[in-house]
Amino acid sequence: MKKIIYIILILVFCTSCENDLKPDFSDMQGVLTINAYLYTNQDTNFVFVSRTSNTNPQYVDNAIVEMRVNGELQQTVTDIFKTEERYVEVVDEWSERHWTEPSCSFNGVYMLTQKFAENDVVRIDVYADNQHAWAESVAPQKIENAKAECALANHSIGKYSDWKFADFSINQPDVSPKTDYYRIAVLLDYKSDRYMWQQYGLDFSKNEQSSVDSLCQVLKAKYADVVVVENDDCLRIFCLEKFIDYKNVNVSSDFFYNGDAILSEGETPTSANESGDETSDTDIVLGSVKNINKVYSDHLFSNKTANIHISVPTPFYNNLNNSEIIESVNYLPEDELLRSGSKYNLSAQLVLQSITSDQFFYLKALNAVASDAYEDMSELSGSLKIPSNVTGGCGNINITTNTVFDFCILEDFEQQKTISKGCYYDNDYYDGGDDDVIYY
Amino acid sequence: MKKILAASLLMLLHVVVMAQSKVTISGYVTDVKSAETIIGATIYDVVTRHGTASNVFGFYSITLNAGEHTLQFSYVGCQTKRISLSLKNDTVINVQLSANVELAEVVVEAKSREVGIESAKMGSIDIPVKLIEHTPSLLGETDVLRTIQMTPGVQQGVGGASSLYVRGGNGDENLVLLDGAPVYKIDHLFGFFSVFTPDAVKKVTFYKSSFPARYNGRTSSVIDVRTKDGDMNEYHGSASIGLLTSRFNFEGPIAKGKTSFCLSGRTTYISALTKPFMKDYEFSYWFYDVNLKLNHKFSDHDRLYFALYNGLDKMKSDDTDDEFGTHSVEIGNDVESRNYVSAPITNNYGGMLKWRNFIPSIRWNHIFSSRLFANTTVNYNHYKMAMSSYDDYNWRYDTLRGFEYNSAEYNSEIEDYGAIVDFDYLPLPAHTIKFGGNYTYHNFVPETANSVYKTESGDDIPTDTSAVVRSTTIYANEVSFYVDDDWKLADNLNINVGVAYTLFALKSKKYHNFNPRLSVKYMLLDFLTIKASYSRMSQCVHLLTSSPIALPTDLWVPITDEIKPEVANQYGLGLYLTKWQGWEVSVEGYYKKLSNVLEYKDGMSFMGFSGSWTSLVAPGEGESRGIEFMIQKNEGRLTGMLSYTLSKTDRKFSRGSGVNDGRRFPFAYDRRHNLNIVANYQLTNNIELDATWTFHSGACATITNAKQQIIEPDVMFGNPQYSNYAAEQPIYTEKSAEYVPERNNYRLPCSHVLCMGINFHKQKKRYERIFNLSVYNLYNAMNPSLIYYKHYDADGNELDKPKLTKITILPIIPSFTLTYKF
Repeated sequence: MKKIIYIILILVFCTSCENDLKPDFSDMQGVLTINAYLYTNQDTNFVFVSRTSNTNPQYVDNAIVEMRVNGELQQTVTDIFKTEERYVEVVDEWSERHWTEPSCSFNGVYMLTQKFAENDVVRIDVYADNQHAWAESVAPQKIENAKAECALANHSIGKYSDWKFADFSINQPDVSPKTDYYRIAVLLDYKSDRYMWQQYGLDFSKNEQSSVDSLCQVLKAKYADVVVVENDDCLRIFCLEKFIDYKNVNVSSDFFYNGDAILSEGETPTSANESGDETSDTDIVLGSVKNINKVYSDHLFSNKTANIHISVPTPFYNNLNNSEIIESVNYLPEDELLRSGSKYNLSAQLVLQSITSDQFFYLKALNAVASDAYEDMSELSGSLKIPSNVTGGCGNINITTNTVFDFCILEDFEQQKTISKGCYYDNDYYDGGDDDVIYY
Repeated sequence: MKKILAASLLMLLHVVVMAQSKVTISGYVTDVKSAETIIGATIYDVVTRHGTASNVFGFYSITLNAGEHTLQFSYVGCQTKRISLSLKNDTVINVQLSANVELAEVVVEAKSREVGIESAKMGSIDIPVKLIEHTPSLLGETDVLRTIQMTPGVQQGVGGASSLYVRGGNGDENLVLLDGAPVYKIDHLFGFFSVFTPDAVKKVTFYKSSFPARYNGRTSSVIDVRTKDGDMNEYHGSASIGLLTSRFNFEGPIAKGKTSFCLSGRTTYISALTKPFMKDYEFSYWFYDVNLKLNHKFSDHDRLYFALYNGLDKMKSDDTDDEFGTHSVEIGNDVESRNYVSAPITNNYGGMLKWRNFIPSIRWNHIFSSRLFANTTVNYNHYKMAMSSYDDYNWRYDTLRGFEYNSAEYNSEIEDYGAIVDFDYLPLPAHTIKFGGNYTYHNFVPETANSVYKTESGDDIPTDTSAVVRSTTIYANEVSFYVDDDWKLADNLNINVGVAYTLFALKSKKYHNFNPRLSVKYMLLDFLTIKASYSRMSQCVHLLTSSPIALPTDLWVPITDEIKPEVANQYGLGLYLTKWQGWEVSVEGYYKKLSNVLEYKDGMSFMGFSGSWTSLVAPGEGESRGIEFMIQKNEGRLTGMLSYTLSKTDRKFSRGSGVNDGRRFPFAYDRRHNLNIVANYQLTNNIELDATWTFHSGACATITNAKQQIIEPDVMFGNPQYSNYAAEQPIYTEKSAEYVPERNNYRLPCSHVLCMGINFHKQKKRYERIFNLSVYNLYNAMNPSLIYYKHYDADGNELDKPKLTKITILPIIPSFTLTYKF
């Protein structure tokens, strides 16, 4: 009996079978694909033209792209946009290392240089090899009467639990009876200037004062400051080095919106959100779809005012306000303290984008496709059809109008580190390391 | 003035005289042994050929001329009874029928006046319990809904699942009633078993068109399941042990002839059976159903019933990883003595998923007079689904300890309070009028989600955060009033005409619907009948789902200010051949037009939360048309049924709606051909053979056939401050994604399944033993249950090109059930 049960169970639970199917798509032609993010009042916009393919999309470099605004032809482009095959010099001020990177270059990219304004009807036509596809959309309006605030805060979110966050509060009223669509993005402009005292050379004896003085004169031309510290039995020269430690403009798309009803649209606030990790094992059942493109609509605050809260991790640790003793030097007199430190500048741009409904649903579809849940669901319910507003082809023409809020979060904020008596200050500790981490 | 008065008096006198010459016989039809009421028994005057049927509570009423009559009472599986009467006054006759042990008809019942071929209505059939018991089972489980799938016009979803797609309608368009109360979650084990325990079921009536006016709320079908009332005279029951489940039924009198009970239960032991195969972690899944019915007869005029259904599914898993990693613990009080040690981290994690239906109801039957019967029902309906998961990391070193704990919980529920009043009124012989009303107070709470995150580590400040997100509770009042009349215009002409008014009231919006119904039956010859029908149905609740298998995460939501009720207008025409040498043949054609049918917009789907669901769907139209052919053999050792359906169903949404670019596309379950054969053979008195064979064309699926370019947005571009930077180095992210040209662009291969079963009966002194052996998918047809794109081969190597692969969930599966009846 037991054997029969086991055999039956094996049959029940282990015998689901797989076989290959051979659908016939041999007569399918490549479909013309147009993608574009067009920005209102922008000098330069790009249109990406390609064709679908069984392998990878094929760029189309021989297309004719026409742009019409309010029915009038504004521009016709036949040449693709080429960036030069040049290399960009990148300098890391801290390590003084230089290297080069190739600049991005795309194929099938066409540049439009005609501006258009809010409420303009913009139409893009693309002709290529007897195929014609087009899309038309209305440029949305800027967001009126929205307010935003920003402040630094501490949060304990998984791997970011030691870092400071820039918290943004957005107050946005619903101003029109129809449903409008939006997107949020944040740019952080960060610069840190580090200054550090380091001993120059070895100890000097006390009868080498004149040599020390001469050396100091030379060093003063190179360093921001030079100090001679007299110890019981020796003289030491300390030089102050100032340099830009790190400078970056970071497009922060990965900010947190835990518990924010507007951006989450009721999405389960799972531990994955809390920890800041990718979808973790604790996501329930088939997982959830993260709003990675940060889109939302005023459907959830119709005729009301939305209060949206987001948190963006900054490169600063939580002890930003503290002067922390990090190392100590054996040979400093007890009452002599040379402070090293950093000066930070952090500014942020909060960009509230008014987008079209086509773009909203397009980005929501991309949210789903990028989620772990989609991989499971597509096996059950089939592939998702990515929305398209292109007639005669596929893809999406997206028009965006930005409303920008600038914030100066930190301006020359100085955090001093104390080098105190007690241990050796190892210069090798500062060897560059991970650019994302600030060592101090 | 005097003339008018005289004429009125004469008319009144005529009516009185006419009325006085009519006599009404009424009463209950019950089983002689158990006193169980019999639904749909035929009461027929052999002389006048005037007939009626007992209603869902076993009550009948028939009006005849005063004088000598012979009434015939009959019901499938019972011995026909004839009573000769000399009628002078209204008379109450309660009739008891005894079981016919010689005949074990298991075919779809079509002899009732309320439903079936004899009725004016089309597309309505009774499913006898015996047919349910004799349909070869899946994993030892006979199932009500899988039996209904054998009838024409009904499609199953994924092979083996009990989902129903009726005449091109979606799975949520079926009104499933259990003793009058709607059941929201009708399945266990992801749709492979329904919640209806066959032992508790007395009668199942299925409507796919010509809906009686008292049924409202769904557009495609009505499945009215009535449970047993309980034997008023003797105790008896049954117990069954199957491969995956066991069930029992026990009924009997509490006060003989007055009060009875019926208790049924079912549970599964899947977890115990799979445990040897899952040694490394704890996983359990189980479900149960409990049906309880109490029945008290106050008098011939008053009966009170209490019914309760409680069903639960629960899935749980727990696991522990003792070697997850190590945590670096700082020890020492000062800088000089500071040191770090490694403490092992233990990770405990798991989750739970459960869902539950709880449906109690109280029902009161009252006979006002021989012509007026009333039923009043009050019910409560609670469906709740809960999911949770947890992840716990903890470490310990000496007296130091730390942990990181997070958990999430997600609930969804519906709570209904309902009251129903139904009247059966027979004012004249030619009229059977039903009227009444229904009120339901709905509470929908689509989601409540909360998460907890706690950490504690050594001397660090502990954290304890939690977040709760709760969707707004939606309150709705649903009211309906109806009236319909079954009118015998002539000996060979019957019509059923009715109308239902429904009101669905939300906080800010009210939706009114008038749903007329009309059915006409004309008897061309004694054995040849033609019927036509029209019905309009509306639906104000929807099930959010994106999966072809039933998931507990599927959510019922009501319509809103923006989403209007879905409406179906259905037309039918049919020809019926009956009583021809034991055969019945029917051909029905239908055309169904759906309005405001919902589909998710392109790229949208339901993934576990209903936030802004109304913005993710679009309303459109649907059309379904088909011809259904059915032939039944009702007599002899071999009985059975063959049904064939030729149908076409599609959907179309407006351009700009976001659904398939405004192009018409086939419905997911648009299977062109459907053939079902049911055969039952009485080999000997103790051995029965059952077989079913189904064939249907492939369903539709949406698959990708190419890749398209996707560009992700870049906020820097379009920002004047950074325009130079971005113009020089545009940093768009380019990817490729699946390209889907059309929805439901691929036809799956055809499916066919042969199932066979054999029942061995052994009558012992005090009990009967029945051993059933069944085989599902006897010749192991590899039917496509699901399809997906495979990216890796069996060795784990990435394929050059993904391969479209089908999964067959249910290959050949033998099973057995051992039943004891006492």
